[in-house]
Order: sequence, then C-alpha cells, then structure tokens
Amino acid sequence: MRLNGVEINRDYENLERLLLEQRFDLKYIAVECNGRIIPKSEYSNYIPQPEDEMEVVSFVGGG
Amino acid sequence: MLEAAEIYEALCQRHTKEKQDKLKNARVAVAGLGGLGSHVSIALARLGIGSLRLIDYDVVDITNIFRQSYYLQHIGQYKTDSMKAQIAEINPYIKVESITEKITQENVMELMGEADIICEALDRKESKAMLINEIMEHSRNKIIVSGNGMAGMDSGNRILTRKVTDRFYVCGDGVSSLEDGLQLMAPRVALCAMHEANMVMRILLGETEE
Repeated sequence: MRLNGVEINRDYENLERLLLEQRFDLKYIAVECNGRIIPKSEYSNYIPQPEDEMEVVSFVGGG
Repeated sequence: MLEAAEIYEALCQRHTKEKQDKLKNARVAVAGLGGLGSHVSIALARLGIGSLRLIDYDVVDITNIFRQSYYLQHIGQYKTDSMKAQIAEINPYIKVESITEKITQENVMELMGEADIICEALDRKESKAMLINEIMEHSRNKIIVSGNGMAGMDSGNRILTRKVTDRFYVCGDGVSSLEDGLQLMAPRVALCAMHEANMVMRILLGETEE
C-alpha cells in the first residue's frame, strides 16, 4: 500500500494499528483511502489492502 | 437603498448571467468567523452567493481587528452579528442565517443545515478534524473546503489548494501552525481565506479539479 506517497510493504491487522505505528495522533487527522474519507468508526475494523492508496491529512492550528 | 434587481444586474454584468445564476442559487456555510471565515464570508458575499450560513460563538476582541474582517466599532459584538451587518452593506439581498453557537460533534450536522458547501474556518486542529470526519461520515453530498496551515512568515507561494477527494479540498501550506509557536498575521491568513473562497466559487461554477 502507499501512504502519503510512501510505499509500505507490511500487513496490519487494522487501520488504527497502521496509523498509530506511523505516529499519527488520531484526534487531528482525516484519512483518505482510494478517494473517500474513512470514518473514524471504521479505523478499528478496516484492514488495509495491498492496493490501497492512502493519504493522511494532519491538521494544524490556526484559522 | 438599491433594489434587488439593480444589484443582480450589476453582478450579471460582471460575472455573466449564466455564472451569476449558479452563484445566486448556492447555499454555503462558513464554520468559524475568525481570520479565515470572516474574509471568506465577505468574498462570498461580493460574489453574490444566494444563501450564507455563518457559524461562530465568539465576540470580537481588540486582537481580532488586526487580522480579521472587523473594525474597532465591532469590539464586544458577536462575530455573527457583525458579519451579518457587514454583508448587508455589500449586498442586502443575500439570505444570511447567523448561528451564534459553538460547533460540537453532537450539533455539527444540524448547524450545517442545507448547505451544499462548507468552508471549514475553525482555529483548533481537533475541531477541524472533528468537523471534517463528522460531515464526511454523516452526509452524502456536502463538500468541504478546509483551511490548514497559514501561520508564520513563510512564502505566500506555499499556500495551495489541494483536492483530497471529490468532496474534500484543503487550502494552506499544511504545516505552519500555532502549535509551533508561529503567529497568525493578516496577509498570510487572508491569502489562505481567499484560496478557500476561490475554491468554493470554482466548485459552484463546475471547475472541480485542482
């Protein structure tokens, strides 16, 4: 799979594990996978697939 | 006061009738009326967007004046009230619904109402993430244009508009944050605000690639 343009060749039991291992803080992100935003409620049951193209948008303060 | 038809004619003269009718029929919400949202609202009003829904719980304080679209006379007023009054000075025929409430996970869907496009203009990163995740999960068609990363003194050329999905666009440099001790200053924040307003306009006029 690719995450933010970087190839990851590993299996993860779910998306949450992948995000935590990549050191994302789940409170401040939105996750796009193959053209849709994955709901937070699916992080713990979505299993990342080898062909997945993912982008994690990390929000920063200011507005 | 000018008649509605006179303002509409003037807008059609500038924008063409075909484009103006699309803008006039649009319903846009602005979530947060600070440095981003106040400028976004003014730009959307100048475009003649037909219906604006403005949401903010805060009052104008003196530090807001130097970055946001408010004047000294507005100090102490709710931002929603001040913005509604400013928009009436630009185009009194825009339907403005102002909501003076804090946006939470529980009320966010209700507060956005019938808006087709939502400008995310909140200041805290957890609020931004909450709004985007909630709306993406609980609506089928709403489009969000978000602001992310506009603090500091970096080049204005790093402020960009990016399409993340068909329903989610992000404007900003993506990194420059308050958390890094950077300040928010008028030109760079307004630049990001105009990216948001411009993307809303583009979506409404059918230009959705970025």
